[in-house]
Amino acid sequence: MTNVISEIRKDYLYNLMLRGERADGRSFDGYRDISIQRGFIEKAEGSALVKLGKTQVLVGVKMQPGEPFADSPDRGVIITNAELVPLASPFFEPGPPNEMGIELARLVDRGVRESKSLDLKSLCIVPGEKVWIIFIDVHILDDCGNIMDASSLGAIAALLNTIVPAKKFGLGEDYPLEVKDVPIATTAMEFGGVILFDADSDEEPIASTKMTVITTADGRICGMQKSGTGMLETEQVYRIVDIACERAREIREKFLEV
Amino acid sequence: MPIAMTPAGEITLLQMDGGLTIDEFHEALELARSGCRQIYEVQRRVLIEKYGQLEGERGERTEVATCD
Repeated sequence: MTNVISEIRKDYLYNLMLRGERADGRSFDGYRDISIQRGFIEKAEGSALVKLGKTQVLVGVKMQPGEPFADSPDRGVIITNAELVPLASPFFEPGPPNEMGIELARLVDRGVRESKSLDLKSLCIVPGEKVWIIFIDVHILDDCGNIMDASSLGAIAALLNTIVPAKKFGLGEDYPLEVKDVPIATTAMEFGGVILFDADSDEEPIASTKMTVITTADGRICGMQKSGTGMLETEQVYRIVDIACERAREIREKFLEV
Repeated sequence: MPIAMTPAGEITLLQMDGGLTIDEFHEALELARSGCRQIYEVQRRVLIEKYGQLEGERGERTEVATCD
């Protein structure tokens, strides 16, 4: 994605940062207001609409029985997909997902998978023949920055209110999907030696690099991804990880107690 | 957890999945740092040996290979 920002805006943001400020008055590690509306789509097995400032992401979860992968015959399957429709941002193009869309889907997937929040073995119906396939569909409705964190939050919130549609497929009564952990992704960006969390759409394009850290409820790191061409000092990485753990804990406590 | 670093110790690539505590992560990053340093030294030496020599054989300057 090539996001354009005027030099004058860039200078303005840079000068603010030198004074320790941000355009919307937040602290460097402060998040915009978060709201999560669960069960937003009736037809989905689970869903959530996440608002992070003006950024809006809708996540839907669908489940259906299907064939397992040959190398894991007794495990359910998670398929994560992200839709970046042109309506959501002037910088999204129609057509197959670009690099950014793929990275987003993979990171959301990594959070759910590596935190082991879903017990894939319990999603097995008949070993080698039939398992539950979980589709996590992330739709970006409005990209005003940091769709990564919003998507990840939406995915876990949607999974938390997912009801396994067993009855529809003649597999007994419906039951809530068991979620064992709540992974939270937090993304920091670096610009001119400053680390900012939850960058908005003005700040994002000036970042030389971004780093996403996904943490689990017990404070472990279950995924990390540095994107962009810039470089980070080791100390900066440590700081990002520390703040990421703290923010993730706050977000988890506020919204997503299991 | 793949990590790439410049000789100055700046991180250019970092990716991780699995599970690490913060202390383990610090340890991993320190190990990666010394690993990157070792590979850099070897790579640098080999390149200078090979191309430094070739330059020399042709009777040209050999400084090219020694700049950082």
